[in-house]
Amino acid sequence: MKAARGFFARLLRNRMAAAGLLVLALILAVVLAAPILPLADPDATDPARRLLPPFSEGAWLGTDALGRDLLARLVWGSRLSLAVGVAASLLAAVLGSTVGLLAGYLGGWTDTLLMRGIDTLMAFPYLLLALAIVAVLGPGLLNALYAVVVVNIPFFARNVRGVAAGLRHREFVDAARLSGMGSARILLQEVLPNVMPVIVITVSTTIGWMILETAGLSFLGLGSQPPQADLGSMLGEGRKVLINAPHVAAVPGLLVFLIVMSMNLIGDGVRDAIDPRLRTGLPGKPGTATRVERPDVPAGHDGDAGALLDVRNLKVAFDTGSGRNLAVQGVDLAVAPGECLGIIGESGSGKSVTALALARLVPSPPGVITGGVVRFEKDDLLAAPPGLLRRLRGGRIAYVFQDPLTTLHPLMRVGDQVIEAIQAHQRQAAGAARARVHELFAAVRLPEPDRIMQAYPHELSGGQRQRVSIAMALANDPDLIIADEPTTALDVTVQAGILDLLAELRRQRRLALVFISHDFGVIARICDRVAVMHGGEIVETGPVLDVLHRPRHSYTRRLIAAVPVLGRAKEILRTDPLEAPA
Amino acid sequence: MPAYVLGRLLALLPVLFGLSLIVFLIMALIPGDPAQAILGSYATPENVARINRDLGLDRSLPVQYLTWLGNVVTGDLGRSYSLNRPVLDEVLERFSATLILAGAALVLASVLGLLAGIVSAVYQYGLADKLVTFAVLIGISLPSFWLGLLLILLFAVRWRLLPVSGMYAIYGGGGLVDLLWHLILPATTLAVVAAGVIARLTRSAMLEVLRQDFVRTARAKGVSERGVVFRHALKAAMVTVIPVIGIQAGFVLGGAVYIETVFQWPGIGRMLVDAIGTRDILLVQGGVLVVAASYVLFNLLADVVQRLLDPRIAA
Amino acid sequence: MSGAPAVQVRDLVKTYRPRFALFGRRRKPVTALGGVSLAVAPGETLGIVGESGCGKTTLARCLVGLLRPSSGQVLVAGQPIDRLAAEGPAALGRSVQYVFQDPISSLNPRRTIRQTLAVPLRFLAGLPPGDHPARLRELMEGVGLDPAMLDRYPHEFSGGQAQRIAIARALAAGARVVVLDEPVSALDVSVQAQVLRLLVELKARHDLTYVFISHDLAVVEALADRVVVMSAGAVVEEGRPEELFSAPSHPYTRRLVASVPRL
Repeated sequence: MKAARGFFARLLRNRMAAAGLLVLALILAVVLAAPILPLADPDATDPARRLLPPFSEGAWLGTDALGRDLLARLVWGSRLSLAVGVAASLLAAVLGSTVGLLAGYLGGWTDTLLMRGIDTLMAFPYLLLALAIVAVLGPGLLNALYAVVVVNIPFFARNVRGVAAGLRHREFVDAARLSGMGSARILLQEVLPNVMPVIVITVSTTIGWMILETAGLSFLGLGSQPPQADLGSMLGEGRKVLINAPHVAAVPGLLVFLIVMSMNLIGDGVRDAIDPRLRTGLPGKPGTATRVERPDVPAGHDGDAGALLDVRNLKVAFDTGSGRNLAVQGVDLAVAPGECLGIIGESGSGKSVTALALARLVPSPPGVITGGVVRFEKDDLLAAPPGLLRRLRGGRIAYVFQDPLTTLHPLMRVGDQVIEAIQAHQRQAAGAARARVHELFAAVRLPEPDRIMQAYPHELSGGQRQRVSIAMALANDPDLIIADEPTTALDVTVQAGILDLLAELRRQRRLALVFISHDFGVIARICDRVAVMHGGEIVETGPVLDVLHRPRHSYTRRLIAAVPVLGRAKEILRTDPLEAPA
Repeated sequence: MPAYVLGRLLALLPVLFGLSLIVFLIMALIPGDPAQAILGSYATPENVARINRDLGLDRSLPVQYLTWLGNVVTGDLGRSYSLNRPVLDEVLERFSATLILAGAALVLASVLGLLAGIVSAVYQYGLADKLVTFAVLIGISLPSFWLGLLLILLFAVRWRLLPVSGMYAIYGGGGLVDLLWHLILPATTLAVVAAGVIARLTRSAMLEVLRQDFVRTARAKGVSERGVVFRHALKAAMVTVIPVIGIQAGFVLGGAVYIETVFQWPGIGRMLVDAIGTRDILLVQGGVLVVAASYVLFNLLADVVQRLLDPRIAA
Repeated sequence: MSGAPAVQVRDLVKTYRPRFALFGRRRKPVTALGGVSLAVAPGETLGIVGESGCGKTTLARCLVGLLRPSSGQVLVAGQPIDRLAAEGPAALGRSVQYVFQDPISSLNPRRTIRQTLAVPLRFLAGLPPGDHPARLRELMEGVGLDPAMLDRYPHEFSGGQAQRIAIARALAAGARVVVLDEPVSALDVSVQAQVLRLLVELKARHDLTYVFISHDLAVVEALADRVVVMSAGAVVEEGRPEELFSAPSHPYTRRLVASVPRL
């Protein structure tokens, strides 16, 4: 119930949806009240009063070719059109969702058979199937309704099947089975509630179309038959007197348009209110660089003389619907040329945000850098113009990200992606760039560089993909590589290989490295110094071995105590009095 | 790639079978004596006897289906009694007129929709985005049969800029220029809804893609903003947009029925509506079959383009 | 009965048939498990370690009947699992339970914790609805959570809390064998240590038998009495964790142990 109230609150906050709701409510109120409104008889003909223009005496909207009152016909016609449209979408929703639910949840042959049937229906261009059905059943409003229902069943079946098939393999469905639930119960209690939003969204986005299509069939003379009139058949009649009396067609058409538009507005609102991704407020498209809003630019500070990267008091926040959350609250870091600095912390500590903020890659909105200085040699990156920032990124400062399957472009050959990195910074002919990629792939120990250049990311293993990412980072001989959990998605044996490679490259090329990880073991293996992050702050910095063996801050001590170490792992089972409950 | 196309073709077999069954059922399910229904007012005893012999209408349904399928495969769709000519000739003639109209509309809708969607996404929440969003909302809510009437009233009746209806001028017509001239209003009307749907989808697909990790990677390696939008984001967004263009082709083909009625375009939609009116069942059957089969082939094409774009789709 | 192992696996094979393809490369069937045998004594914790694709999750899912093996046999408390499964979902669920890797997605996002925990009480334990509130409170307290949280939805919990709920669900109907599939891999280290301690405590309190699966050797060493190392669908080595990890004999185990970053 709380969820339902939240849903309506969100729907009404959406001004467009609220407007749609208002228009539709007005129309509904009028058509529902039709029997008690002082309207003329919609079917009473009067040849003496034919084709009166709007605002005529006794006929506000004028009359049609048979002298019937247009206003009365409009109200009664809308009533009919709405009733048919709503009935059609409910029927299509029930039938289509049932097919989709069964196909998706049962899978196997049921799925194949049902979905082949649906494919067959979809093989007909939308309206054509409706025409074929009307051809068999004969013209008539009810037959038009059946036709529209059949034609719309596939939309529901497909959408629902997709979601249901995804849910079938979800852990909570397995868990329900292990908790003793039978299949029918799982379908109704576990799967259906999770499919419901899709059904609601599909209803709200197709109902306008269904009203439009039934009106269309009537317009063609295949739906409602005289004297019964819906909006479509009124339009059809109006078309015959279009040139002499345009209002006869214009008025019912306008009403169809208003109804469909209000339905579409509501449909969009419903979708936005239900879609969990939009629930927290749709973040805008991320810009090229994180927005910087520094109240005061720290002036005249030259920073650490010998440092390659010098970060002072960096603050990063995220705008949410209810204000600004500070994720990084004043971080100081310095990296000397050729040095490896590790940043360690648990999820939510702000370590990844810090790493991304250095080259202003935090998506903005919602991210904002609210203070500090990021000095790379002489330039303050937070004040750098877009051109300079672009030249530095991938040029002298390169990134390696966590999961290379999502961080490489899925539709580009990996060789081309590395070539692009080269050509973004150097004028190089295609041939020379290819040769360079070959060289880079050899440097990161990829076997058969020529074959791998031609591969797409999904054709490579996780370790190979990460080597490609590293090759891409090396493309323009950077001075600094920022690696954000580069081995977290990998198996330990693969991780060991990547760590060895990074360590070796660093020595050979005098690379400075900022290495983000949640794993003390990984940091200890590769870094000179480590900064421990907690709650958006650096609580402790120092040489790795010092921090590991003589942690000064209580959080660092707790963190190290919680890490199981091979050979003495059982120590973590002893309750640590320092530890706070979860 | 050839294996993929072949695989897709094979996967189409059950769909084509289902399709032929549905089309066949149009005739089989007509209430009453099928021969009477097909012939209508031409149902002389000789005609009834001949058609029963030709189509096997006096035999069991499976036999009827096989007879019918055999005829279809050899290009014999029967004879239209209301028009007194072979169904296939009439259908092909009418279908080519529809293809011109629907093809023009689909091209127009795709170009407009893609452009509007990209602009809208790149300038999200800007003025251009708001204008496009508003136009799309109007576009997808307009009943095309009504829009067509309004456009005729304005452009043809009031301003006399464009022809009211038809495919060629009645006197001295013919030729490409004349055709294009007559095509402007109906093709535009038909394109409006599809353009709106494509624009809306392109926008949301672009926005979705621009949030992906690989776009961040592109920015991190210093790719220019134009490269990010066109080389990286658009390419990935097209993977979701192309199937929608395929689906819109079906809506455009179907929607052509209204437009052909409004603009008196001599296409297959108009023919079908008339044939339903005169109960010329063989004509309905032939028309539905030809349009649906071509639509299936068009979707095969869309799948192949999709596969060319996305190597992750397995053969 | 008392002498029987809590879990016994005999020559378990699981192969996945490739998807039917008329054209293109014909793929070979994938062997996820190539004849695995093992036994777990009552009250023992057996650790299973291996890297992704070694078949450890397939094995775990076969143990609780979520996957049907291609051949071989699984016995829980001396009973063949397919016979238990044939008696209906309840018989199996009362004997063996499962804890999933991702705690959040193992809870239905649209049902409250009360609704989720009531399922095994009703269908497995056959508890009358009147007795539910007391038992639910007991379950929550047993895993260190405040019973006042029962009416919340899964998204309102942290990963560690959600995993505690999943553990409570597994214990709700009194199953004595629990298969834990990477139960702490999705958690931060400090939370991980707490959940591991909870598992040890519950085991002692309820006299449980664990099959504990993880890719993290140190975590397995912390919990397991005995450990098997899996690679490519087969058990390559077995032993007490302290000994096995300090002196691995199989080359794969040696490489695995050498790859673990040390503090």
